[in-house]
Amino acid sequence: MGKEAAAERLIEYETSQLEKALIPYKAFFKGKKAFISAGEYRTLATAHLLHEIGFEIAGIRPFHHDEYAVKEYEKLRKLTGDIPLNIANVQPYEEANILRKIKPDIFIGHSQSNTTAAKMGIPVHVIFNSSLSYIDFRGVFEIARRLFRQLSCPSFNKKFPQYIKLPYKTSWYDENPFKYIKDTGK
Amino acid sequence: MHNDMTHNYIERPRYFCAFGGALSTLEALPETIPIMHASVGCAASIAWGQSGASALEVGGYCGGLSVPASNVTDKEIIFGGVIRLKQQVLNTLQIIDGRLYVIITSCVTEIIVDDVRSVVSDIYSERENMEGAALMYAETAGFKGNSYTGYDIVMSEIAKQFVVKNKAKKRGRVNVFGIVPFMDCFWKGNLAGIRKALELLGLTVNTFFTTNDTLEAVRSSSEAELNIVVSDVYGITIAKTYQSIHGIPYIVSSLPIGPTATGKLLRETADALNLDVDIEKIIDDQCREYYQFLAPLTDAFYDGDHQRYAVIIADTNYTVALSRFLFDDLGWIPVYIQFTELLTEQQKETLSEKLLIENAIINPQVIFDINASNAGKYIGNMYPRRDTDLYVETLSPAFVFGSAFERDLALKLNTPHLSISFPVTNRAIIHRGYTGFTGGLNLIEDIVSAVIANR
Repeated sequence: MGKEAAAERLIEYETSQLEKALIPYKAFFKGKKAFISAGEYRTLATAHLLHEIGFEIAGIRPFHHDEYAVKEYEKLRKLTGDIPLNIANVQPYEEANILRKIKPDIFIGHSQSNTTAAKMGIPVHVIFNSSLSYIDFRGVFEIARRLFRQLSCPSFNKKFPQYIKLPYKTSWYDENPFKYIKDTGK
Repeated sequence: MHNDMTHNYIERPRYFCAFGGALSTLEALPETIPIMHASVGCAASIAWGQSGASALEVGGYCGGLSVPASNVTDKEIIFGGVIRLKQQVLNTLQIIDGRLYVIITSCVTEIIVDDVRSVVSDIYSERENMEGAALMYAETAGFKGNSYTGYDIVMSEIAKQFVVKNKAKKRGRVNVFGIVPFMDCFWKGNLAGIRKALELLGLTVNTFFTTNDTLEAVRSSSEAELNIVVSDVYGITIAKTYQSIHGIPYIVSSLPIGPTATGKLLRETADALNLDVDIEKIIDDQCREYYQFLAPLTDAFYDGDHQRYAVIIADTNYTVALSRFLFDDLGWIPVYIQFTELLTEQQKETLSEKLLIENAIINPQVIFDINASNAGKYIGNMYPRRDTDLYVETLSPAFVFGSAFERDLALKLNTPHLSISFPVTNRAIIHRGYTGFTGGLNLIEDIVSAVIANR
């Protein structure tokens, strides 16, 4: 549309405003480990975003895999190095096993699939829902605000592990979480 | 961290006068007949006040417009009302069926300095047979303070004039003070919740005002080993009276809503009484039950991102109790807390300390201001914002807790609202309570339901 210069100015302006506002949040998130789960692209995009605002990405659990996402994994790996990756259509038993080992500071997951982490006493936050802003410059700030809010007061489920049991036998946690995935050798 | 504003007016009062508090207290006691030595209209005023503001609960056994009264007019004000009062009391003893009759005086009858004590002693000396009834009086003129003061005065007089003296203490007996009938709209449920919690320690609990309580237990309340005041302000005078007259020590706890606060109360009580119980196991079992009930809410609670910032504008009991329950148990964040009563500097210090969050990233703004309408101004100062500011903290998502008056603020802030503190005009409460381990679950139901009301 021939408005490249104007677009560049807008991007520069919004980015600088946003960066200024994010400073205290980034300081707060620094060193905190996040585990992210959703559809594949959303998982990867959110992982990038959370890395940008200061989190350490400790693991991801996309629900499925398509070829065109391969380059996104490579992009992410450049930021995080090798991290546990579980491509699973939920499979909460694998999740419970992995989270026990990783112990993230926050779990960000799709609706209806945050409960396993919640029962383990891990602070959780729903990765999106229709009333939450998460896209665009404003979305970055809103996510930072929400995660700050959640981590400032994790009391709702902090004592869950003391009083609520997950349905897995103790012996399962000693096993390899990927034990039940048949390796087809590709 | 607190501001103080002095006012020369009271706007939207959040209580009755001392007389109203005393009358409400007497109406809630078992087999008790209040006899008002007051000018015409006091009973009706209080009854209509209760009807409007006490979550639709009015009167008691002998309450509402049934309350016997001397109904003084010009004649008594000029010539004295003692004769009228005596006549009223004698006739009341004849037709109204009670075991404890308590004369309470009002603004007018105290200004004219009627000697009510002489009426009581005359009647005792003239009547050979009181037929098992007791007669006493309390000076509860409205101008002495608000309803909470009236509760303190009348219960202290009961401790002095009605409760049996020199009783041997019985192991495991405790009295509970600090919850004022009709002012705490959940008084019955709350007292029951506290009783159930304390009974876990094997105690026998006197809560005075519930269906579980008897006048005989009130009379024998001096056999308690310990008095428990579940308020930082109300009922302390009563406990001090029991201490000086009946030699009973007391502890002060805040109103216990939910597992953290209730566990704390049980520990403090077990400690004060040197109880030989496995207190941690008792608390653990109760927490297990609480969390079993809470667990199925988890999915939807997180999916809807139902954690909120809280604005709390309430009486002393609920400001502290709600703030702690929200932060310690529900995982909500109180950001603005306003106490709407006149408090001493010492009380303000004690209360502010109870609201401090150890290692808090967010400590709430605590305001002491009897004018609740100023809340909007204080909150506006906390979140200065121009419409063009995109990257600033805002008060959202939020929730307003307070009295029904705070609906205005909730509308302005565009948040849901729950009436908990007096006056409660928009809820009917006859049995519900928030205290105890599982009482907190009732509160969670009410809070989350308010959030999703338009779902």
